[in-house]
Amino acid sequence: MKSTFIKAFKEVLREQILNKNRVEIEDLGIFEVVHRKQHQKKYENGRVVMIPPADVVEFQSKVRSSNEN
Amino acid sequence: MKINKEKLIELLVDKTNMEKVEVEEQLQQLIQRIVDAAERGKALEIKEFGLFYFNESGDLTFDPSKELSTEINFKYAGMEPVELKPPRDSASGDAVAATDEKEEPTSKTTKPAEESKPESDTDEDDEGLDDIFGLDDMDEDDEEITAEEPEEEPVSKRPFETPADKVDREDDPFSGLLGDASSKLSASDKGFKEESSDSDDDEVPPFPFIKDSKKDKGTEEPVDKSTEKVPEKSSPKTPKKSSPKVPVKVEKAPAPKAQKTAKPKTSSKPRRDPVMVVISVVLVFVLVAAAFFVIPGLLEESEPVEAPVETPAEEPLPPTEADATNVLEPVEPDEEITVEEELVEEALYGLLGELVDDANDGFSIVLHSFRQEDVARIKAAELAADGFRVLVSERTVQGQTVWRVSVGQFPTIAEAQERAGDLPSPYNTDNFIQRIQTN
Repeated sequence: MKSTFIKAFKEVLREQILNKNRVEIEDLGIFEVVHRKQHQKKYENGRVVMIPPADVVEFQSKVRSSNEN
Repeated sequence: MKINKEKLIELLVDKTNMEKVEVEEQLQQLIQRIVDAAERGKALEIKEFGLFYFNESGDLTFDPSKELSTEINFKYAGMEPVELKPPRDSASGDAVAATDEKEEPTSKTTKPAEESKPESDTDEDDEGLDDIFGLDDMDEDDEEITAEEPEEEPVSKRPFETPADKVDREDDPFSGLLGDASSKLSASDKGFKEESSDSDDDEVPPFPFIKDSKKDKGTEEPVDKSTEKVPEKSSPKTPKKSSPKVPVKVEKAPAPKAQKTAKPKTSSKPRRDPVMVVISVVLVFVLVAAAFFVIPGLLEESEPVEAPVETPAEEPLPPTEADATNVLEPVEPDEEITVEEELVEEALYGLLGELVDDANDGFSIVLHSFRQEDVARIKAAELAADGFRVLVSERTVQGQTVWRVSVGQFPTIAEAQERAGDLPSPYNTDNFIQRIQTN
């Protein structure tokens, strides 16, 4: 496998993800940017923390480990 | 927009200039490798992209790298969790980053108060904290001053460490000093010391007075002169102008001695040893003088934040864009000052100046995006002429190649955003941050 390819691969994926595009690669999974709203996180000890909003990458895959099946 | 495998391959073909078949093959290999590694219980990492592995439930999982996730989250960069309510129990310690940040500064301020032996690490505290806790700066300054002193002559402190010993040992340290200063002085001093030790009644009262007057009003001439000179030049001139006994001691005590007395000072007052009194007074003035030197330095530190905000619109810059009432100048002073502060950091990263290759692991502020490279190059040259660090990078956006013109090299997105706000008019709102890619 060529290193230039890997480099190109990650750059293309990065660009697409950054553009909020949903990248679906069969055999691998789906990359998607998801927005997490600001929310309050409440701890059991009464502590409350405001978590800021965030954009995160989510990856869903149908590929499962064959060891477990 | 969806990018399926087919589209992805197209993009890859564009990017790599490889044959489609080859790209398909390579992609298949890559996927296979990811899955294989995961099967073996390992994680395959694509650097600056992320990590593929099987999680506990056996699903293929992807953890984006720090670079990728910060880049994606750049809109919200710098936003930290904020604690709204503290925990009920006082189990304050370990919890969240937000509270940690707040706790730090307080602990810093309290420590020094407790212990007067600063390790002088305070210097390099986060700028942010300094800005926020302006008052703490003052405290820290004082600490720094005291911190410097022990460094200079740690050894000499020892004789005075225990107040009880002080009286007995006084003769030794001073005789040594006298020897250093001059033989004549030593002779007269010895006589004086004997007096002081033997008959306290005569000598003791005058000196406390002097001390008091100095501290309260600062009116006593001889002492003032001596103290004024001490910060500048410690030894030579002081003795001549003032009365024999007092000045001699001042001279002996110049810089190094003063520090010794830092601790004993308080304890010596009750004893009313004239020598100690004089030295302690000198020390006070030295501290004040030193504070004057240090404080302006700090003021400079705090300025850069304000300066660029105040000054914009003074000098319009011709080149960039039609609407632009561009102000490069306000940014520059900022830059210069910070350069002095943190030579390493600023030399590496920054908005202005020459590009630094080592800073290409950072982020840059994108101001323009062109379809044609030559147009981008022209704009880049204009910006470079204005003193910016300019980068031109090729990116593919929705299947089209664009040339992005960006300025500055910054270690973090947050810093880039902060500096982006200082840019001249159209740019300060119309920009975005991208990670620098050199290849």
